[in-house]
Amino acid sequence: MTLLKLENLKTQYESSDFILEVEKLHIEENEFFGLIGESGCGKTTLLKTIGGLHDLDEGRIVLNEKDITNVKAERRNMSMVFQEPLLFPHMNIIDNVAFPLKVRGFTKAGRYGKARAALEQVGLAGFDKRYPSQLSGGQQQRVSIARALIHEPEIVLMDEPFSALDPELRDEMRHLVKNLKNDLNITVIFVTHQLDEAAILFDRVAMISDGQIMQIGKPSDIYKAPASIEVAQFFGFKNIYKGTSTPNGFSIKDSSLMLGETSETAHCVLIPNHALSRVKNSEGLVRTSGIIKEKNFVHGLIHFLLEVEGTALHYFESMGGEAPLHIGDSIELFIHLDKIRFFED
Amino acid sequence: MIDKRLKILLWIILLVLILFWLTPIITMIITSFSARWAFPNILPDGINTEAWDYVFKQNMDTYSSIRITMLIAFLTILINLAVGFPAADALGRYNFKGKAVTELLISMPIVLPPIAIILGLHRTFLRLGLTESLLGVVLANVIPTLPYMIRALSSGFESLGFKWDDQAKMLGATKWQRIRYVTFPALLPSLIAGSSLCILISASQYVTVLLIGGGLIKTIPVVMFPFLSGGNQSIGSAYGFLFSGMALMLLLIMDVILKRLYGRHKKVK
Repeated sequence: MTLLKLENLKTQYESSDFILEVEKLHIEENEFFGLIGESGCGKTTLLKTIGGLHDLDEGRIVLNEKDITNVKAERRNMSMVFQEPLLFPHMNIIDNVAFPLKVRGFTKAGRYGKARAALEQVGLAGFDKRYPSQLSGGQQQRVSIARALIHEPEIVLMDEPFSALDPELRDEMRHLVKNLKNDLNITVIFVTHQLDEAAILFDRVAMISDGQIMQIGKPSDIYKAPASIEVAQFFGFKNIYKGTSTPNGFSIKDSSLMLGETSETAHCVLIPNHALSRVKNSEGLVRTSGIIKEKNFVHGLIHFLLEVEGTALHYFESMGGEAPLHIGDSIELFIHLDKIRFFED
Repeated sequence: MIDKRLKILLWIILLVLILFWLTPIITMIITSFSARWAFPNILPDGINTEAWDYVFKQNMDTYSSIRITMLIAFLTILINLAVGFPAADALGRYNFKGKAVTELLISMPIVLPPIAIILGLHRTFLRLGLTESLLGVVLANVIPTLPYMIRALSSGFESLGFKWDDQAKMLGATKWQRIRYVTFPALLPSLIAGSSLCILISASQYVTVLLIGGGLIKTIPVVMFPFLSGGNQSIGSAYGFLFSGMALMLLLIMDVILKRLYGRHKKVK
């Protein structure tokens, strides 16, 4: 079921000419939805708009078939985890976690019981009486997450909650949140600029650039078929070339490399790594060759920077595969034309 | 070692400062217990408790002056809080046109000569019928104290920012709940600083109270002044000591009350 609908949203910061526009964004119940993009692209503004912390100039927000556009943040029954844990320093841990219930008029016994259970869920049983300053950064963020879940909000908003943590801890927290999301059947909207987070966490993701949604889809689908150059670049694709369409195919600028296939209006081509191979294993391949200029190890892969017909080409290969290659060697590569992608911009 | 010499120098400076600060207090205590202590005598002409007898046993104004001084100080703080809290929020956390001018205007009462303000105020209060009343004196006390309260609170608001408010909103806290559970406790140090200044400034007003109160509102400075300015110096000193004690006590009481209101307040270690 569709839980949240954003329609024709438009908002602007007073002090700048930055405009955020969302024509349509639907978020399903129990979905783990990601908002991803470079810093300053408007993803946090969009999250705050959903939460009610940022006013709309135009458009409509509908939650559970109810228009909440003009409902105050504290009445939307959502919750938010920020980059900082923002635990109230004058309250101990149990009072911090129980805060959402306190402001909703729960009795002390009722809220403490639930708060203890919530603390246990995030692995901090027995921390009740401590104060935030006595906890590590990771523990504080766990408390913050427990506090955001205790009142069973319709949607939990998360604004880069792990970006201030160490990489190892970050990984641990991602799995904690993912498990909590699955156990509790909650809807989460999560802002990040980190791709690995998208791949691990999200059911669907919206890639945002310059205040516009560029593409919405499953992370793997976007990876397979980025909708634009910007999306491809953000998702880490390297081999993107400008060029022109000719009757013989697509000609890459400043290079003699010619791809036998083209679409008439294309100005750009992306050659993903899975379109490259060192063996001729099917038909319809373009053969090319280059010189190895650089060789690096990245995330268990070997990254080659090649010079191919006057242009640079990145090629990744898993370790221990074919015969070893060294800087200065020449290399023969085949391009699978059915796996390359053309763009008009 | 240069470090050691510097340390000794700092100790000497500190001792001189302490002496500078303690000497008048010690002199005041000794004077209050002596019949006469004048130049060139090194020691007073005898020790007695006549001055203290007068202050606590003969002059019935003493007790009422303590009460009224405290009452005026607390009422002044209340008005300062009601007026200063929103004003400090606006100056500390928001940007608006004319902010610098507003800040300047708010500081005016401590920049302008107090006597000029008080004389003008006196004429206005006469017309409004506020002279010779407690309310008039309290209002007159708000003028020199409010700028300090606003300054203390607005720096508190400035460092607080909006993030805590936003977090509390997202957890479902209404405006009043946010003020009560989040903003107020976070501003407690600023509140204590601002209120302490209010108490000290309000309690030590003399000309204001005399003029606006028309001699009917007798605070400790009003009762004390005639003795210091030529009457009995021993009694004046006794009142001076009493005043210091009361000011310290007021500060203590306020600190305790504010901290009890937010009993769970713990300093971040």
